[in-house]
Parts: sequence; C-alpha cells; structure tokens
Amino acid sequence: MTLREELLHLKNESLGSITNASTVLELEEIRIEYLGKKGKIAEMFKKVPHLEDEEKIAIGKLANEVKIILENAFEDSKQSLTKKAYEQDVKNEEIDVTAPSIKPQFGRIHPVTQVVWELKEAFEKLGYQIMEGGEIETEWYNFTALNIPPNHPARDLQDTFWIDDIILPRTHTSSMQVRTMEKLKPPFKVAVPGWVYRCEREDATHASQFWHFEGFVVGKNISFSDLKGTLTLLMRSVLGQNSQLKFRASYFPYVEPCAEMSASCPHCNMKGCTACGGSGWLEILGSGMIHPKVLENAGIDPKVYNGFAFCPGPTRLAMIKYKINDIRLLTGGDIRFLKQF
Amino acid sequence: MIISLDWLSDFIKLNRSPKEIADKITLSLSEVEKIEKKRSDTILEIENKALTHRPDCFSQLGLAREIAAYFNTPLNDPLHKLTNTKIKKPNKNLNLSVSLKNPEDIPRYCTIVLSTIKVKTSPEFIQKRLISCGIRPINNVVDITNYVMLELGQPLHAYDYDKVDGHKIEVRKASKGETIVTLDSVARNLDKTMVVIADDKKVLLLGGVMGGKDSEVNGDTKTIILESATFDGKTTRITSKKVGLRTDGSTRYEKNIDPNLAYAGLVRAAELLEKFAGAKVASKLFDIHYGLPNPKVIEVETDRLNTILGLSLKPEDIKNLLERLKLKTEIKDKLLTITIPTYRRDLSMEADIAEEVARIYGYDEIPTTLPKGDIIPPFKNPVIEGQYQIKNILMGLGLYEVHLPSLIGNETISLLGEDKEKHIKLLNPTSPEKTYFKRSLIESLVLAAELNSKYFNNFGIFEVGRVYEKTQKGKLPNERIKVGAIFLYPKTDDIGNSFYKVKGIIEELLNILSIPLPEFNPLDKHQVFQKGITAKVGDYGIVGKINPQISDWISKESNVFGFELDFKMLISKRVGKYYKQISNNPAIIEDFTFEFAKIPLIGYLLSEIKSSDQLINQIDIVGTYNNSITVRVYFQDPNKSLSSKEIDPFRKKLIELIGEKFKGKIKT
Ligand SMILES: [Zn+2]
Repeated sequence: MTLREELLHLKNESLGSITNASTVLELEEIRIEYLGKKGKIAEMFKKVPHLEDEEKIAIGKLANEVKIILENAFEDSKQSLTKKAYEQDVKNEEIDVTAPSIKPQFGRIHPVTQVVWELKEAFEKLGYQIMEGGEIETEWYNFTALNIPPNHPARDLQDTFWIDDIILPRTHTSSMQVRTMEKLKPPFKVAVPGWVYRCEREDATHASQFWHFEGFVVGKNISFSDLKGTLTLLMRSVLGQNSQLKFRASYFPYVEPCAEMSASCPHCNMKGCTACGGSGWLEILGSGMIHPKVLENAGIDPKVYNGFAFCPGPTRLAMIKYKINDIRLLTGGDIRFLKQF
Repeated sequence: MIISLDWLSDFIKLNRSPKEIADKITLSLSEVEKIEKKRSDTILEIENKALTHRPDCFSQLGLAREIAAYFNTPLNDPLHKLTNTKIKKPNKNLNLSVSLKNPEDIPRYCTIVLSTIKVKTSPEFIQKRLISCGIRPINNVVDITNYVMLELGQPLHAYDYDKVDGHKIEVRKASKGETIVTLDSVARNLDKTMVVIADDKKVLLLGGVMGGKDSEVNGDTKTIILESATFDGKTTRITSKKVGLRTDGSTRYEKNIDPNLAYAGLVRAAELLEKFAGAKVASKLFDIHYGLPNPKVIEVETDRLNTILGLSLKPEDIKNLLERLKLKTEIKDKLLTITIPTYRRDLSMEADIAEEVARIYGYDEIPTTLPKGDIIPPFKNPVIEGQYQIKNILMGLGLYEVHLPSLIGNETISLLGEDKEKHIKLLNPTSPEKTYFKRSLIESLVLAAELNSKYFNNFGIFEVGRVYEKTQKGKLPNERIKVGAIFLYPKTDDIGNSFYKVKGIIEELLNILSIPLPEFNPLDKHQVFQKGITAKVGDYGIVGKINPQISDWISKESNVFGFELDFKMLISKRVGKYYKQISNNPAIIEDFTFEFAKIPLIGYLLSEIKSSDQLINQIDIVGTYNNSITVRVYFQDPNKSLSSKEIDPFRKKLIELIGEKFKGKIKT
C-alpha cells in the first residue's frame, strides 16, 4: 500500500470508528488512537520527511487534510454524543411529579396567636401600648372597681370561678383597666391580650378559658364617635375591608354609653349560614365610654378625663375567620388541627 | 324578656312590621333573638343581658315606652292614672294586721283583703297574653297577679285569707331552721339573711322569690290577701342564690324595682279582680314605707354631651330626643335640666343621659372619628416582643405551637408524681380534669403529647404560657411565663441523638435571641425528668428525657423529651448583636489527643478550651476511645495568617490547662 492509500484507508477506518462510537468516552479513546500525540496520524506525519520532494508536498497536504477532516468529524460526533447523553439522562431521571411530596420540618403558630398578632399590629399602628397583666385577680379589680359591686345582678353576666373569697381567675381583661390607670398618666392608649376564665360547662361553643384583647383609651374630650371609628378601623383590619359593621346598644356596668359591635358574616355574604347561626351577623365585641365611677376608682378625675374601652375576643375571631366549629379544638393541642393554619 | 305585639297595641298604635320593631329594639336596647307568630299574636324575644339595669323593661308597658320613643309615636301610659287612683272603701272590714320589722329589706309593702272571690278560669284575652309571654294560665286570681306583673313589672302575690293563721301578716327576717314548701312543692331551708312573710304559725312567702304551698289560692278560695311589695334587690338576689331558685319575681326584684310601682300594681290587680273574679275590697289598704323615691334631676351641659357623643346637637334637639323617652327636659341657655321618672332607676348621671340621647338618636347615625391628637408609636414591650420572637423561632425549628388549658386534674398531678396541695385549686370547678392551676407547662403538655402520639411518632409541640405558684391565702399567686416543649422520637432512634437534637433546639433558640449559651449541668433528681438524661439549662430551666412511667403512659413506642425555660429570665439576658470580623485567613487546624483516668464531661472540657484563648475559633470532638479524647482545634487570627510557630505558646498553654483542670495527659 502506498502512503497515499494508507492515509485514505486510515481516514475511512477512523471515520467508520467515529460513526460507531456510542459514548463520549469511547469516542475519546478513538480520538487518542488516531489523533493523539502518538496516534496513527502522527505516525503518518513522521513518515512524510522521508519522501521524495514532490510527494512530500502532496502527501503532507493530504495528511493535513485528513487530520482536519477527522478533527471535525470527532468534534461533530462529540457534540451529538453529548447531546444524546443529556437526552438519555433526562429520560432516565424522569419521575412522577404527582406523587406525594417530602414534607419539610416546619412548625405552626396557633390560629388564636395569629389573630392576636393581627390585632396587635393594628393596635400598634393606632398607637396602643401592648401590655400584659395577671390572669389571677382580686375581686376588686375584676368586679368592684369596674362598677360591679358584690351582689350586683351584672355579676351573673360572667360565670366566675373562685379561688377563695376574693381571688379569682379574671373573667375579662377589663380587670387590667383600673390597674393600668393607676400606673399611667393620661393620655394613654393601652391594649391587653390574654386568657380569661369562665365557670362554664364545656361544649362546642363554651369554654372555661378563652382569649380577650382589651383596648382602652383615656384622655381629654374623647368621644363615642371616636370609639365607633376606632372599632371600625380595627375590626376591618382583621375581618377584611369589605366587612359590614353594626354598632348597637348594650349593657356592661363599666361603660356608659355602652355599645356592642356585630360584623357581617364573612362566609355567607349575610345570607345566613351555620357560622353565623343563620342571621348573617356575628357579635364580635362589647365596648363603651369608660364609666366615670371606674375612672374615679382609678384616681382619675372624670371631670377632666374620659375615655373608651372595648374588647374583641381573639378566640371568637379565630373561630369566625377559620370556620372552626368546636371551641375545644383550640385548647386540645391536636397537631392534626394545628397543621391546618 | 318577651314582648307581645298584641299587648303592645294597648299602649301604642304603630303601623310597623314586627321586623321593623325588632330591628329598632336590637339597635337601641337589646338584641331581639326571635320573632315568632303565636295564634293571633306575634312575640319578640329580647335578650335579657342588656336589660340587667332596666327593671322597667321587664314589663310590656316599659317596652312600649321604649318603642314609642324609637318611632316617636304617642304613648297611652296608664301609670299616672293608676298611681292617683284611690282604692275603694271596704263594705265590710275583715280582720288583718300587718307588721313590718325591717324596712331596709322591703322599702314598700302594700296589701289589702279582697272577698267574694269566684275562682275560675281567666277571660280569653288574659290567658292568651299569658301564653304569649310563656306563662301557663292557672285560675283568674293567679293569672291576674301574673298579668299585672307582665304588664307593669310589679310582682304580686295572693294568699288564701282563710289559710293565714291569726289573719296576721308579719314581714321579717327568717330565722335559722325555719322552712317553707314553695309553690313548686320543694321544701326550702331558710336562714337569717332571708326575708319572709309569715303568719302566726308559718312562713307564707319567701321574700322576692316565691309564695308558699300552705296558703296557695285554689278553687275553694273565697277571700284573698293581695300583696304588692317592693323587696330589696340585694336581699332578693342573695336569697334566690342561696335557695337556687330564680323566678319571674326575683328576676325583677333583684334589679331594684321602683317602690312607687307597688301601689299602681295593687290598684291595677284589684281593678281586674273586681272585673273578672267578683272581688270586693274587704279591708283598709295597708301601705307601709318609710319615704318613697322622688324624681331625680340631672343637669347636663349641651357642649359636654356633644363632646361625649361626637355630635353637634342643639339644646332643643337633645330635649326632643329625651322627651320621646318621657324624660322631661328644661333648657336654660345651654344647660339642660332633666327630670327622671322614678321607674328609670338606671339614670343618675351625665353619662347615662348621653347614652339615652345616643340610643334615640340612633347608634347607626353616630359618626366615625378617631381620637384627636397625634398617634405616638408605642415602645416595643420586651415581654410581648420576646414571646412573639420565641414563637416564631420555635415554629421555624419545626415545633407546633399549642394553647393548653391552665387547669389540670388530680389524675395528671398523680401521674407526674406531684403534690396537689402545692397547686392552686378552684373552689367551684366544672370538671375534675380542670380543677388545679398548673405549676409547670409540662403538666398539660404531657396530655397533648399523649393525644398526638396516636397519630404521630416524631414531633415537637411547644407552649409559651403561664404557670401559677401558690402564695398566701388571700394573696395573688405568682404567675410566671414559661417556654415549654415536649418531643416524641421513635424508640428506634438513638436516645443520645434525640437528646442532643432537643438540646440543639434550645441552643439555636438562644443563639437567635442573642442570649449567651449557658452551661448544661447534669441534674440527678427530678420528679418528671429521667436521671442521667437531664440537665439544668443554666438558671433558665431544665431539659431532659421524661421519666419512663410518664413516658410509657404517653406512648410505649416513643422516647419522650421535654424542656421548660423561664421566659423573663431568658429575655433579661439578651445582649446586643454585634458583627464579628469574618476571617479569610486560613486557620491552623491541629488535633490533640488527651488521656484521662476517667473521661471528663465533654461540655465542660470544650468550654474550658474555648475560653482559654481568643485565637481558638472552633473546636470539634474527633472521637473518644477508651480513656482518651481527640479534639480538633482551629486557631485563627482575623487579621493575619498564623504560622505554626506563632501558635506554639497556645499549644503549650492548652496542654497545661487540660493537665491542670482535668488531669489529662497529651498523647503524642
Ligand atoms: Zn354566615
């Protein structure tokens, strides 16, 4: 075989191998065999200097051409094999994306805490100082100072647990009104979240322990319309801007005038549903202008200062908001329940 | 309280639908809970809660007065006429003596004897109205007393004259040991706080609450003693509570009804009894009282009233609103002088008048404003913010926040091997599981852990809440906020690893809150936690494995761990967060193997090494083998690369330290 024939044979042979290569690795082996430093093409080049002048030029040229052709062929094949390999990978890695997820470890905040935090944020934007107080109180701060003396019929409005003759778990966060007023100099705005207790047999709608978030303001020339405006802002921030609110008369001995607020049921567009007992409305809080006797009991002159107080119930709001139909779930600690919020 | 719209038409002519009337009552007085058709009548059921201070509204007339005011319509009020009607002179005088010993418990006592009574069924309209209002008709005499009570709000009672021994009525305190069988056939034990009406031999009536069976009116009754009394609110309430009996009478009396009503009620009942039972007056009227209340006068400034309500009414506007409620108002400049009828026991001051104006003006018409003045952003209360942050961090670390009852039962206390005497106890619990205040969050967390163990075997729950510590009787207890958690890990997990996971959660919590990490010191003796897997977390609290008896009760398949930390103690130790230079200079890493007679507590060893020199940036345990420990120490200077030579003195210092403090020998 002449050198020319040898070269052409080498070319065909290697092109054949390249076409047959099925992986990039295999291809690389073939490349080294032909185009490597010690490969078959390099061997051919070594023979060129020994040729006659004329042939030297022609064969040299041919060898270069073959080398370039092979290099291109390797490059092309490498690209297509790489592409094929990726395609194969993608195919191999295919999974069923509809199968169940692997759950990350992340906890939950209790739904009532979430409502407490929403209220807290709204309170703070309106300038209320958030404070906490004792859950176990004296009869004085829970009742008498709030214009509910012993044997007043209003004591029946809140069924009370007793620890002894004068100590009780507070029946409302209003117990913090006089305590706070004794400490702070008006004007002030304060909000107090916390547990309250009632001596109730427990069922789906009654609990012996639930949350209140009392807000109260003492200053000069505070008005009933300020109370209505404040409640409107605050309750819409929790129940939604489209919430309809109803302001109506009521009775609590520690406020005068006294008012209750109801909100449109967020679930039925006021058509009536199980959440609202069919009425389309939900009672959400009691409120009013702080009774002059309460201010007096706290050592504040009711001729100079006045104020208002109101008490949304985070437990009740959470039940309304999340359509929780059994109050006992809120103190049950069941993860199946907590996971949902 | 029920209002009958048929009855209402005696007092006002109103062309409004029951719904319209109900809506106004709901807006201005108290919620109407139900509208119901009853034969030819329609009744509205009004929630009593908001009527607690309104004895006058426990009557059809009182509610008619309210409704007339809401719709600004004339009221046909019989009260004035009744008050000024004289009781007829008796034809014959039957014997009766009345004595009253305690005027403070019974501000007014009116009574009269009526004879020639024919006891039979009541006329149709009386029966119908009683049924509308939920009272079962019995006979004309009893029905008429009930009718007048519903109409005017004045409870009355009729005794069978012939059953009253000695025809003698004594109003007095009961004495201990006395009893009465009340009309509901229940024997009641009395005591000296209660007021009774009695004859020579027996108690006839339990003051303010219910009459007695012995002197009951029945078909044979010919002569009655009709009584219209004003029992004191407080006395009635105490009595009613003690005997456990609430009646239509006690509901009204405990709100302190107007003594002026007693006479009007008696006149009205006598009038009806004459008409429908053939009754004739057969004694003089006994009307015992020591002064009757006169109308109060309240003065209010127009400007003050407008400020309180956020309105800008003229004095005449206010007068018009108040006079719709029959509150006579005189204007002098801007000063309003308001005369309060005696039946409005709830009105005594400016604030009360403000509410009356608002109610008639309409709560829905009150504008919405905000308190004047700038809104001053509140300072962040560290107690509130701290709890907020801790809850968020623990959630991020995979724990579920629970709210658990503050109250636990004796069973739980026994389970935990604790002493119930140390717990604050309720005098009147509603269930045995909720009788004692918890002294530790773990006490209720174990219950929640047990519940969840049925569905999950690998979880953590936490509570940020109060625990309650007994102090002296009559003193407030100590309430402390704690951060508590319970974890369940499968028994197949390594116990040590499970403990270190919980420990890691505490450390991460403290790191994020920038509280310096305390030492974890082994704790040997604890009621709830297991010896050998429990540590004190500095002074903050405790972490460990729950001891086997309790843990097995929670779940036999899981190891149970828990911690409880004192919240205030934690937040008091928070320090500022300051940037510490990150060094890109390579650390020199060296392993040291020390040999000990007995392996020391690793936590102590590491903290000693760590605090021995500033250049020590990190220490890891490479391994422990028999009595030797290999630690890997990273020496790093934030400002420059260290050479092996430079750390020579520190190496020496470290080896000396371990030798001195832990009797460890370096192994080379
Ligand atoms: Zn609804």
